[in-house]
Parts: sequence; C-alpha cells; structure tokens
Amino acid sequence: MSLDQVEGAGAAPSQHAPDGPDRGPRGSRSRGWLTAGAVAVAVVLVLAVALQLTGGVRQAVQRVAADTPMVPSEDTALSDMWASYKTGFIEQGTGRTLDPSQGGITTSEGQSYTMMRAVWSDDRATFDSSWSWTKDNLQRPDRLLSWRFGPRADGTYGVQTDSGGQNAASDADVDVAFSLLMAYSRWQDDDYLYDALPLVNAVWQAEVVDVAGRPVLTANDLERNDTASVLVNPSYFAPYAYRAFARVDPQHDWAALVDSSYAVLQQVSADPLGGQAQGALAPDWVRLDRTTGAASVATGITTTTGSTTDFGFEALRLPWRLALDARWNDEPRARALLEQQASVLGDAWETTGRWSAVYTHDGRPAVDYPSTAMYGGALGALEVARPALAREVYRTELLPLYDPDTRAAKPGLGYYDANWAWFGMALHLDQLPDLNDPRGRDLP
Amino acid sequence: MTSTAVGSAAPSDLQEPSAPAAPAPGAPERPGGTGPARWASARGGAATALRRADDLLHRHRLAVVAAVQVLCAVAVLTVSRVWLAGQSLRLDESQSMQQTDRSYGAMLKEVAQDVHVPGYHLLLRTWRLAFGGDVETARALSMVFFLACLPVLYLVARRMLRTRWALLAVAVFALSPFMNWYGNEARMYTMLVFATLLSQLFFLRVLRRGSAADWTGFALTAVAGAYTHYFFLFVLVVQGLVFLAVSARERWRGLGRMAGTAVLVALALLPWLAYFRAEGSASGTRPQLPSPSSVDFTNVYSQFLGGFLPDSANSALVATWPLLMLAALLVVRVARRPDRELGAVVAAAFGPVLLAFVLSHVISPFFLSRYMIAALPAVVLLVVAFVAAMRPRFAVVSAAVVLALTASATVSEAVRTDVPVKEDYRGAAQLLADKAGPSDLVVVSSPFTIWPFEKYYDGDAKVVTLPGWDRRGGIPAFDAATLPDQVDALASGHQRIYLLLSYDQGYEADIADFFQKNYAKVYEEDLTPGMKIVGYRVGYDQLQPVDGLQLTQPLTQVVGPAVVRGGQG
Repeated sequence: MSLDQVEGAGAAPSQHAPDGPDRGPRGSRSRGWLTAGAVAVAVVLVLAVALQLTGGVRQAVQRVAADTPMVPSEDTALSDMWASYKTGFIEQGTGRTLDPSQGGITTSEGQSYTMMRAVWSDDRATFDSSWSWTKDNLQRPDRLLSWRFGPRADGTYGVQTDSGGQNAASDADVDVAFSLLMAYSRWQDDDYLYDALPLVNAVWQAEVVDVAGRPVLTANDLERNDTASVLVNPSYFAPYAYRAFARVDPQHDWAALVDSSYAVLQQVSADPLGGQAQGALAPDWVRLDRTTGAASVATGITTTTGSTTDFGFEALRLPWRLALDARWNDEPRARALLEQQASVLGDAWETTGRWSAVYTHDGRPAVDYPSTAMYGGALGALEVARPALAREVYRTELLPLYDPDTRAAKPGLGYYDANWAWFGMALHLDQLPDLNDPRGRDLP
Repeated sequence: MTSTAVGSAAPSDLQEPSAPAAPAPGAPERPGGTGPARWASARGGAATALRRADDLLHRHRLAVVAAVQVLCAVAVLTVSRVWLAGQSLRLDESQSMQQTDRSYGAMLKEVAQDVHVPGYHLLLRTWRLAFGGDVETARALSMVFFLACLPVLYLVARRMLRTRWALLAVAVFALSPFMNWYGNEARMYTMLVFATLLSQLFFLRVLRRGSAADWTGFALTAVAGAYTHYFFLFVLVVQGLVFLAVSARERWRGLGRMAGTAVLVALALLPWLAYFRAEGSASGTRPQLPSPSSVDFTNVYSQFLGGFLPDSANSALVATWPLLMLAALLVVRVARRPDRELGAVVAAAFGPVLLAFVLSHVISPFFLSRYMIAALPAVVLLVVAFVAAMRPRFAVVSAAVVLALTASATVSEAVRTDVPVKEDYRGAAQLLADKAGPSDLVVVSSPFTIWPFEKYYDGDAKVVTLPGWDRRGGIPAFDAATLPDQVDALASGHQRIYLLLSYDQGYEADIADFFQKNYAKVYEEDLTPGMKIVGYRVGYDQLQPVDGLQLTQPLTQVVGPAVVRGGQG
C-alpha cells in the first residue's frame, strides 16, 4: 500500500511500495488534518503573542467591547470640526458668531475666533462674511470693535450699550487685525491689508498704554483714562501679532510691546499677588501701577472662583499664544514661560490624569472639575516643553471630541470650549502656520 | 466535464500509484531528434529523481509536508516584508479603512450602502480594535488568511494529486503574484480564497463520501463564504451544477442536502439583503465599469498566473497560446478520463468566471479580476495537474519552470513601478505637502480618492475635491456646464491649483482639458499608472506677505488720513 496515494480515492496498487507499515487513505487523511491542525495552532499562537504585545487579551476584549470609532485622519478631523462649528455657531447668511450659552449674543472675541479659524482653514467665504458682519455691526468710528452685540431691552438687535457693549476688548481687536493680515498674506488681496491698518493703528492709539515707561496692552480702550493703574489681561498678549503689526505700522514701537509683554508676563507670573506663595502661573486679570509698574490684584471682576489671580478661563489662552511665538519665532522668553507653566500642568496631569478647570496662582487646583477649554489652551505649554505628554493629553482629552461616525464634533460643546478645543488640536497637529511668512512663496 | 467519468471510483491518472518512472501503457514514443540513448538516459534521470522524491516523502512525509508549508509561509512573509506590506494605501483599502474606522452599527450602515457583504468588515473592525488601527495591521489580516490557505490548499490538492504535486501546488500558490498582491491588501480577497478553499475541500468530500460531517462543513463554509463576497455565490452555483451532474448519474443521492444548503445560505443572507435594500441597494455607489471583453476574460487568467502585467505583456502571453497548446500535446501523456475531483476543479476554475462574464453583459458590468480570485486556487491546481500528467522528465523540468516563472512574476510585480494596480497616494501627498503652500490649493479628482490621500497629506494647502464633495453621502455628479464656475470659485484667492488626477470616472479628460485651455501649466508629474499631478497657475498676485513687507511710510500716506481718522461709512 502506497503512502502517497491520493486522498479520497480508493487504495491504489503500488508497484514500488517501499517497506513500511500498511497505512491507507484514512491514515493519509489524518496526517493531512494533522498538518492543517498544526498550522492552525501555529496561527493561534502567533495571534496570542501579537495580542500580548498589544496590551494583552483582556485589553483587546475591552477595546472590542468599547467599540470606539477610529479617526481616519486627524487633519481631516480638524476640518470636520470647523465645519460643525460653522453649522452650530455661525448664523447662516449673516456671518454672525453666536454664543448660545449667553442667550445668542455675539462678542468681538467670537468674531475674531471665527476669522482666525477661517483664514487658517483657507475658508475665504466664511472669513469674508464674518468680517463683513463685524465691520457693519461692531466696528466703531475709531476702528476698534464694540465687544458685545445682541438683543437689547427694546427688542431690537445691536451693540448692547446697557452692559458696556460699546467698549472694545483688546484681545479681539488684536486677533481680528492679525487675522486680516494673514488673510492678506494668504489670499493676496490688499483690501484685507487696508482694513487691517487702521485697526492696528487704533489698537496702539487706544489700547496700548505707557506703564512705567514702557508700552503695555491693556484690557480695553478705557484703561488709558486711568492715570493710576491699568487693567491687564495677560492672556490678551500676542507677541507674534505685534511682530506682524511692526511690519505694517513702522510708526509705532511694536517691538517694544513684544519686550514689555514678556517682561510683564514674567513679572505677574512670579509675583505672589497678595498670596502666601510665589506665583507659578499667570493670573486671569491683574492691575499694573502706571508709575511703578507694580502688579496688584484686580478687583471688581466676576470670575468662577471669585479670585482674579487664578489661572482659569481667561489665562488658559496664554500658553497657546506663547506657543505660537515660540514656534514661529523661536522666542526664548516664550519657551521659558511655557516651561514654567508645563512644570505645573505636567505634574498635575501625571499625578491626577486630568487638569482642573481653574488653578490657583501658585499652581494648585482651584476647582474639582475639568474644562475642555483648559485642555485646548493650556496644551500649548506641553507642546513646547513636554511634547510627549502633550500628545497624551491631546489623544485623551481633545481628539475624542471628534466623532468619526458622524464626521463632526460631538454634540454638547459650548462656544468657548469648541473654539479652544480646535485651537489646541490645530496647534498639536501643526496646522497653524505663520501665513505671513514669505518663505517658500516664490515657487515657479 | 460532464462527459467524463465523474463519479468513477477509479484512481485518477494523476495519482500515479505505480512506480513514478514507469511510462504509462501505450505512451507514444517521442519522435527522434536526440537519439534513443540520450532519450532513455534523460527519461531515466527524471524517473530516478521522482523516485527519490517519493522515497523521501514515504519515509518523512509529515516532516516534508510541514517543511514545505513553513518554507512557503516564510517566502510569503519575506515578499510581504521586503516589498509589499509597506506600500502606500490604495483606494480600495482606504474604503476598508474608513468603513471599519466606524463603530459596528455605523460601519454596517456604510457597508450596506456599498456593494459588499459585511463579513470581512466585521472581522476587520474587530481585528483592528484588538491589534491596532494602522494600515499594516489591517493588511496583516489578509496575510493571515493567505497563510491559512496554504494547508487547506494542500488538503484540497491531495484529493486529486500525489503528495509531491500537491506540495508543488502549494508552492506555486504561495509564490503567485496575484495572491501575494492581495495578501498584502486590506480587502476581503484572501478571506474569499480561504472560504472558497474550505468550501471546495468539503465539496470534494461531499462528492466522494457525503457524510453528515462533510455536509455540515460544506453548509457552514457556504454561509461564511456568502458573507465574505457576493462572488462566492457563483462558486456555490457552480458547485451545485457539478453536484447535479454527479447526482444525475447517481440517482439524485444527496440532492436534498444540497437543496437544504442552498436554502440555508439564502436564509442566512436574507437579513442582510433586507437591510441592504432598506439602505438604498447601493444606489449611491455607481462604479464606472465597462462591459467585459474576451480580453478581460483572458486577462483574469493571465493575472492569476503572471500577476499584473502591462497590456503589451498580456497580449504577448495570450498570443502564445497556439505554441503552448502544441507543446502541451507533445509532452502530456495519454491519460484516462479525469475523475470527479478533477472535473470539480475544472468547473471551479472556469465556471464562476464564465458566470460573472455572462452576467456582466446581461445585468450590469461588475467584471473585475480581483472579484474572480476565488477561481485562482483551482487554476493553480489545474496547472499542476497538467504538469503532473506530463512524461516524467518533462514534468520535472516543467515544475521547475512553473515555480521559477511564478516567483519571477511576483518579484517583478513587487519592484516594477509600472504595475497597473500600484497607487502611490503617499508619494502624491508627500510631494504636494512639499510643493504647495498656503496660497495654493490641492484639488483631488475623482472625489473618492480623497480617502487614501488624506491619510498621508500634511501640508499647508487646503485640499478639496472636484466635483466638490464633503465626504458625506453620495458624490455629486459631474456637470461640465458648471465646471467653469466651480473652478473660478476654487481659483479665487489662490495662486496655483495642483490637480491630483486618478481613478477616472469618465470626466477626468474634461477637467484636464478645461485647466489646460484656461490656465498656464507650471508642473506635471506622473506617479503611478493612472495617477498624476498637474499644477496650474491660477493667480498672478505678486503681493509680499506681511513678513516680507518693508513699509517705511506713515500709515496716513498708505491708506489716507480719512481712513485713519475713522468714520464709519
């Protein structure tokens, strides 16, 4: 009996059957199945090893059970989140950005965020409609922007003068001017430049004030009238923007404003501001003596915790702004401040696995809940100082805000959180290029 | 095949249970030319080699079989690691990826709106969740199925061939360029082959014995295969026809079980088909496929054996068929009529492809060689059976030639850049990330090619599709009348538009011609067959970006005193 006859066929006579045990088709079949079985076992073993390498069987089962959608492309997630923001927060046909959490009002800050995101997203139509609405409804004769617009007591819509809405907020003025300059650079249309120039000039004229012999950006256009001290919001400081303003407005010393901004930031970050310990983080608000430059606690401002010296919903924006200057201009002073912030925020993340929505001036959690905006804004500190940790925070807290199933931001994000989540994600993904940089523009 | 002795229990000629060197009775003498002495010597040498092989197999069969299987697996993995696994994501794969990125429910909805059954997608989704979401991990699933095919193919081959030829079949299959290609693609094709092989194994057992276990295995693999790819239904139809032909000779034995299997498959598919219908019967998916020609039909088989050849090579290959037939007549021995196993394999090699070919003309074109991959193992078995049927010395030489040609085709396919199925979206994305700046625009057409492109693109220029599509819902139809307005809108505010053209859906020439006629071409690069980047100048603004400005004049001289003083207008 040949050992090598065909399976399934009857036994075949062999003329040259070697000596050996007489095994028929059944034995042949069993060997075939044995081979297949051995291969199957090998495959199972390889898969088991692979599972072990990817965190173990239990974790794999948990991942399958969780059924979390995966993000196909993080850059695309960013553009999808921009699309959902437009749907959710920008009034169709007008270009007005709404804040539903405050009864559908519009702020100059909201318009500035929309314009910055639009120019970075190469969305000229949205940029144009947003700027057009801003010009028509918020821009004052002096070219600064009224900060608050919405329904008024008489039922009409307009600048809410009852709540001081006609005043300017310097962060929005700077951001709008800067976005106009980026629009000019990106879309090569000098109308944007001509719109930006008077606003840049107005910022200097009305919102930059001399403090102890140096220019300082104050919180609004009223501070210049106070001869004793001025209100400053450190998170309004945007040195990267002042560098661009210096290019188009040689009449004013914007370079000095860059230097003074860093000096003030270093000062108010370290100053105890009336507390027991030395400061570790920048405060939301601070007052500067116009003569001496000394910092003191700002009063009369409502905040979440009641303290204006906390690093909270205002100051969370500062790391993002500093990170832009560090990246675009390799600014060592920005890096130093970011490293200081990262030591607090990085330790907090490694200790508790999350960030508090507000930190005290000396770096302790001030509340026991998180906020999306904090993750988006403060991520800038880790991006520059501790990039591996930044990736972890981004993947844990920001990327999950995107729903790959619907290709949109998950519902429930408020206006402020939606903006700062996007700014943080864009910073992490390196999708915030310096559009004013001329390098590489002269390709054939 | 129905005229052959299907149902005969006699051993096949391919079995060669007698001494392998012995010529078959009545084998014709080869015409002179080399002299009787040399002829006898050569014949004796080949016979001796075969006899040694048989002796070796007899003494260490299990070890040899295992060794060959392992060697083949190593060869497959080597080809994968060295050449194929690291390739750019292709369009079809990006479909798998983006569908299985979603949660199970959303994924099923997406697949139901596409043209596939969900078995592979369910498995791939689970696989990616367990092992990782990246492209190489997704491709690894296809590789697992490819490797799993090897022992199953051996078992199938052993039902009609002696061990040495069964091992040759495994080796040819493992070195097959077509299988290696799809073994490294994140699609369901190797899973389809695996399901088909299992189905064929049980089907051959059903044909021969038909025990309850055989029928159970056949029914289960039929359901699994039906949920792997619609084309598997053609495999089942052909198996049913073969079974009918056999049953006609054997008084309809087992016909009830075959009918039961068909009903089981239909019932198993029913929920999916109902869901598929509820989701619109893939009405939003209209791939542009031409009706297949006879060339397409022959290309299926040339691709099975030689991989993805350029058209010129395919034509040359097809043109040699008279010579190949003549050579075959000279070397093959006079054989008895083939047995039922061989008949079933012949049917499996040609039946499903013929069915697909006919239905592509009758109903709707869907004839793609990759869909026909279920027929590939049967084709390999036929080639090896043909070699096995040769006179011994020709058989040895032919086996070596077949192996060498197959391996060469695979290596050639891996290293050549003009392979029609290669799609270098990664290269395109990297090139455009380097080339396009913030003032430029990248336009991708056809729109669905955004899927593989976006996986890799990380540049400053925005990416849009033409026709415009937001990656949700169906792709808008191309409208030549509105093309100028669409392009105007895209060009606004941009200096250059870089067109990435691939997967022509019938309007690529319209788009290319429009740009060619209206804008200055500044760049052109062919990447892979059917994929190119063309750059056009759409704006001539020479304004310096802000950081390049050197304004030294006061603001009032730039924009005028009235503007600076303000006054809302």
